[in-house]
Amino acid sequence: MTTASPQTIADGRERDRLILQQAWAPAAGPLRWFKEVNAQVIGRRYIITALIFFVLGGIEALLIRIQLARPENRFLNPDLYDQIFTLHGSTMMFLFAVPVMQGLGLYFVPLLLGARNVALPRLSAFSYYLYLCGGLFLYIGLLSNTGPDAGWFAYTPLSGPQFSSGIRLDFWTQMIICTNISALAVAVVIIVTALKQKPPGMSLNRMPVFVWAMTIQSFMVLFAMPVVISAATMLFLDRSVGTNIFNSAEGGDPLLWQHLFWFFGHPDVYIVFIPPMGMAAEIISTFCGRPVVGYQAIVLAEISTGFLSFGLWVHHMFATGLPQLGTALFTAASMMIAIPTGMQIFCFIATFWTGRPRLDVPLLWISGFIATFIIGGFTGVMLASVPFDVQLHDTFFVVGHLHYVLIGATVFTVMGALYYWFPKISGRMLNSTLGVWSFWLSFIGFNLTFLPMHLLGLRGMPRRIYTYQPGLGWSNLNLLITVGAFILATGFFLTLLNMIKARANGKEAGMNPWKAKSLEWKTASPPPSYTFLDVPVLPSGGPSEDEEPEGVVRGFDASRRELLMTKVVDASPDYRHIVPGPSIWPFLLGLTSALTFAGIAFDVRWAAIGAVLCIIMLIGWFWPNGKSLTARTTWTTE
Amino acid sequence: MVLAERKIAYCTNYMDNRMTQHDIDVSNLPTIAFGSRSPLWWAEMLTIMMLSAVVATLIATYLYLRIGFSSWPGPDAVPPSLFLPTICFVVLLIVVAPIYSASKAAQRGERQRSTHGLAITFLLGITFLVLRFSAFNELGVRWYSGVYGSLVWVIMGFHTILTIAATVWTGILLGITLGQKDRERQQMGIQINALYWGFLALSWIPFYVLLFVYPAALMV
Repeated sequence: MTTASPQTIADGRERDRLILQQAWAPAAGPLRWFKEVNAQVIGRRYIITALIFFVLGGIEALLIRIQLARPENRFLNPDLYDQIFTLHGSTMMFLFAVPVMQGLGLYFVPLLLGARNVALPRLSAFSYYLYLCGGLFLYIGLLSNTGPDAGWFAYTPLSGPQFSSGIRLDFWTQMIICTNISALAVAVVIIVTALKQKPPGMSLNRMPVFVWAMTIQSFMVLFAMPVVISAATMLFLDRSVGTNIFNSAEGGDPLLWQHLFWFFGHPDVYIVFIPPMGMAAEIISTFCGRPVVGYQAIVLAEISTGFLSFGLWVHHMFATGLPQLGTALFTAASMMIAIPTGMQIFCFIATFWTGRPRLDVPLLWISGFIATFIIGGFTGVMLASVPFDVQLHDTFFVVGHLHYVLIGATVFTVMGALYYWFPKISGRMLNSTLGVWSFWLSFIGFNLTFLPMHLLGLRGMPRRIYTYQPGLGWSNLNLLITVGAFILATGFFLTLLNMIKARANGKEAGMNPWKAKSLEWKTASPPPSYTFLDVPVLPSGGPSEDEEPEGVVRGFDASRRELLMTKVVDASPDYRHIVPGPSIWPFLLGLTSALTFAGIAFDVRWAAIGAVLCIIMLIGWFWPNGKSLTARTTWTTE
Repeated sequence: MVLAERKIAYCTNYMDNRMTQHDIDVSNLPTIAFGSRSPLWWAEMLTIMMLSAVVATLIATYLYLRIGFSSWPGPDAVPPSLFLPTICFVVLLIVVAPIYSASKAAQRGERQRSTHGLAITFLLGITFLVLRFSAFNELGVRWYSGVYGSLVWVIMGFHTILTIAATVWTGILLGITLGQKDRERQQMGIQINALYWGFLALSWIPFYVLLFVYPAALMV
C-alpha cells in the first residue's frame, strides 16, 4: 500500500512521522464519517454544528423582531410565535452556547496540553451524535408542528398536563435530556484530559487559563445538568403517566420546578461564561505580548465564580413571594459574584495597560466583550436588588440585561476565539478587513438592539408578549430594535461569510500566525491526526514567563495509540495509556439512545425496547473484537 | 534478538542520539494502571458525582414536597411495609462484598477468583432485581396516587434502572472473562464496576430512610 515503509526511511524524523501517521490514521472505509474518534475532528464537528444552530437561533430572533416591529402586527400567529421564542431560547442555550464551548474545549484542551488525543475518545464521539440527534429532532418537531411553546424555562403549571396538552413539551423534555447527557459526557472527557494528560513539567498551578476555565466549567456541568435532567424527567412523568410532583391539586408544588430549573439555569449562565474568560485570557496574552497579569487571581476567581454560581438561583424567583430573609441572602450572593468577575476584568485591563496591545481582529472582539459585559454586569447588580427586580421582573429590561451578558460575554468572545483559532483549525487566515467590518456592524447593531430594551422595560413593556397596542410609547423603540437586530445579524453573517471564503481561498496561516506562545501553535495548522511529532517536556519550577518546551518525551511505542498519563498535581510521567481507534459503536449507541428518548415522548413503553437496543450497542462497544489493544498494528509494506 | 530490534524500531526518537538532559524516557513505564492513576477510574468517579447530583436533587424534591403536608405520607396513604424493602437493602449491601473481592482478585491477576466474584455478583444482582420488582407490587401506593406515591415510584424507579444497568454490566464482564479476552482492560473494567456497585449501595441509604423508615416511624 505505502511506497515507503518506515523501516526503509533513513531520516529519523520522517520515519517517526510515518509511524505516528499510521498508528493515528483517521477512520477509513465508506462509513468513516461515523467512526471517527479523533478529538480535533469531533471538536470541529461540535463547533460547526453549534454555529449552524446559532444561525437557526438567530433566524428565530429575527422572526421575533419582525413580529414585534410594529403594534398589532400579524406576521406570525400567536401559536407559532410561542414556539419560535421557546425554540430561540432552547437553541441558544442548549444547542449553541454550551456545545460551542465544549467543542472548542475538545479541540483545544488536548492541543494546549501537547496531547495526542483525549483519554476517552469514544465517549466524546458518542456525545456528539447524541447532541446532533437531540438538536435535529427538536427542529424536526418544529417543522411538524410539535415545537415546544412554554418558554425555554417551561414553567409549571403552564408546561404541565393541565395547560399544555399534546406531545410538544414531552418531546422538548426528552430532547433536553438528550443534549444535556451529551454535555455531561464531554465534561467527563475534558476533566479527565486536563487532570491526567498534562505534559511533564506543566504542574496543575501552571496549566493554561483556558484549560482551567474548561475544567471548572466541566465540573459545573457535572453538578448542574443532572438537576435539569431529573427535573425534565419528573415533568415528563407528570405529563405522561400522571405522577404528581408539580401538581398542586394533589399536594405537589409547581414552584419546585422553578427551584430545580434555576438551580441548573443559573449555573448554566456561568457555564457559558467561564470558558470565554479563559479564551479572553489566551487572546489578550497573545496580542498584548505578555503573560496575562494575575494568573493565580484569574484562576481563583474562576473557581469561586463556579462555586458562587450555584448559590444565586433564587434571584430568578424574587417575584414568587419567597420569604424576605431568603431573598435578602440571595441578593447578597448575587452581588458577591460581581467581585470575582470584576477581579478578572481588572486583570485583563492590567494586561492591556502593561503590554503592547496589537489591535488585531481577535482582540477587537475581546475589547467589545469587555465593554458590553461591564454594562451587562452593572444591570445585573441592579437586578440583584429585590425591590428593583420586583418592579422590572418579566419586562424587556431583563431581556436587555441577559443579552448584554450572554451576547457580550459568550458570543463576542466566541467570535474573537474563532478569529484567533480559525487559522489553527483550517490552516487559513480569515480576512481581517471583513473581520473589522463584521465587528463594528455587530457592535453597533448589538447596542442598537439591546440598549433600547432597557428603556422599553422601564416603560413597562412585558417580555414574551405576542403583540402590543399602539399609543403605549413602545412603537418607535421596537422599530429601532428590529432595525438594530438586522444590523447585528449582518455583522455576524459577515464572519460566517469570511469563514466560508477563507476555507476556499484564504491566505495560508502557517504554524503560528499570531506569534503566540502556547503549545497549540507549536504544531502544523491544521494539526495532523497525531497532533504533535513529539510530546513536549516543559520547564518545571515556579511560574515561568517563557513556556518554550525544553525537551521531548521519548520511548513511546508509536505503532499503537499511546497517550502519556501524568500525575494530577505535579504532572510527572506515570504510565502509557493505550486508547482505542475508530469505531462505529459510539455512533450506533448515540443514534439508538436519541431515538429511544424521542420514542419515549410518544409512548413510555418505548423505554423498554430502547433500553434493550442500547444494551446490545453497549455490548458491541465493550466486547473485545479479538484484537488486543496492547498488540501492535502490523505494517502494510507490500 | 529479532524481537529486541523490532521493539526498538517502533519506538520514536530512539535511534537518533539527540537525547538532551531535559528529555524524558518513558519506555519503561507500564501500559496499565489501576485506581486513580487510570483515566477510566476518573471517568467512573465523575459519573458517580453526576449521579450523586441526581440523588441530591431527588432528596431535595422529597423534603421540599414533604414540607407541604401536615401528616406524612399524606392523608390517605397507608404506612409502608418495611419487610421487603429491608430485605432488598440487605441484599444490595451484600452484593458489594463479591464484586470488591472480584476487583481485588482481578488486580492481582487471579482469574478464577475474579470470575467467581463476578458470577456471584451477577446472581445476587438478579436476585435483588426480582425482590425489587415484588417490592414495587407490595408498596400499596401507585405513582398516580398522591405525592408520596409519585416520589416512591420515581426514586425507586431511578435506582432500579441504575441497578439493572449495573447487573447487565457485570453480566457483560462475566461473559468477556469467560471468553478469556483482552485481560488487561478487563481488570480495569471490574474495578470500576465495583465502584459503581458501591455507589448503588451507599446511595440507597438516604432513600431507604426517607421512603420507608421515616414514614413508618411517623405512623407508629
